[in-house]
Amino acid sequence: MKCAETINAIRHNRVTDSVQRHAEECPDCKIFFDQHKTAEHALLSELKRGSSVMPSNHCPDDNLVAAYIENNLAAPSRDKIEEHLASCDYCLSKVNLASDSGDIKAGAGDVPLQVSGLRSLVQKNIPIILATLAFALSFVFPRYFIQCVVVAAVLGIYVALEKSNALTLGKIYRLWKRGQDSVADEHIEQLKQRVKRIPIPTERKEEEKRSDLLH
Amino acid sequence: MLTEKELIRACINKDQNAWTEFHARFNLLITSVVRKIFFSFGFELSGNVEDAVQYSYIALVENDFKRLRAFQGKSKFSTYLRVVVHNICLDYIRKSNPGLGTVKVVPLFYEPSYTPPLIDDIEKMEEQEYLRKAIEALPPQAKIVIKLFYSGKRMGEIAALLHVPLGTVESSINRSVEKIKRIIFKQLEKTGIKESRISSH
Repeated sequence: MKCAETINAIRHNRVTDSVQRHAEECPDCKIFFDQHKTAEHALLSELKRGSSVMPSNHCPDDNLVAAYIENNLAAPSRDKIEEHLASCDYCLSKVNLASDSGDIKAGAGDVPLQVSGLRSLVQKNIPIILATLAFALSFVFPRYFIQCVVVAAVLGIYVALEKSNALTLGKIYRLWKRGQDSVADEHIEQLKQRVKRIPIPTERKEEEKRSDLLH
Repeated sequence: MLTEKELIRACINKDQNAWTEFHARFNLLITSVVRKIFFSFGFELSGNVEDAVQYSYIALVENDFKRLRAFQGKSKFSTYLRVVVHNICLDYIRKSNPGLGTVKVVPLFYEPSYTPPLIDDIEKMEEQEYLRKAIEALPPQAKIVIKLFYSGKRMGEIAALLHVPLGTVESSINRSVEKIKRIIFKQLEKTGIKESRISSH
């Protein structure tokens, strides 16, 4: 790793292990690294202190913000909005999160993905296909019947557990055993609890600190 | 197939079919925006997302479709909807957490893993407000770039967001950090705190 590469990586905030190793060995790079990080630290703590996401009366109209996101504005009003964005975290967050780049679509969970074509269908259902194949093979090779059946059973259990529906089914069965009225009640109670409070990480920490102090 | 404007007009006129169409076209968009907001503000991705989506629909309808009527056609409707849902979602977060009157909703900044030496001295010096002045003196675009960059956006994404070339974003970040660096070390020399391993050339 050369010094020029290291400095470039540090500037682009791509500090990998090899960059860090070089920065520790080379005194010049070490100085650059420390200075850069110090500046970043100071900048960050200052940004963090000043930021809060609250709307103010000076915030531009939503139509204007949407037009800014699509780059439909003339230069003067663009500059005006940028000037506002630099000082207003609420509007900056609007622009940041309402633009369609980097949407969290499939990766984060249960937004249904559209299945298109046989290939993706096969890719999605590999465990089921393998289980069926293993079961079929148990008839083809009677000598390895038990082995094949065991493989098929393991894969089958894996498929059943992987679906989140299995958990829901289990819950419903348990509730059903207890009596049907309690099912509805419990569901409503859960919903109420959920609406009442979203856990806030920062607040929780503060509460913990406070309880620590008390003890 | 209705155009966006026709669809919205039909929705405002309380056409049931139009609402079905609206749901089919925009539900995924609304869900993804809500999810993104929850994620970037550090809330857990749980059933709350569904509640917030429901809340968004109610907020779109309330006050005689005020939010839909306010659409002026300066942009695509989907972009406008994203902006509106962002506002509604932050409103939801604030409403469902009454304690937030004092605790502010703050976006997540990236946490530096490496603590450089002398940071304590610098934090002490921050009381002199020189750093805040320096940051305020940066041009508006540079400030936006820095804020986005340190809240975890990639440079390419920032360039796409602000409609500027990638090179502009890179040089903007470098220039700002260099500037802050110069100011800090000038101040360090002035106050007499200096250490050989971190001193400037």
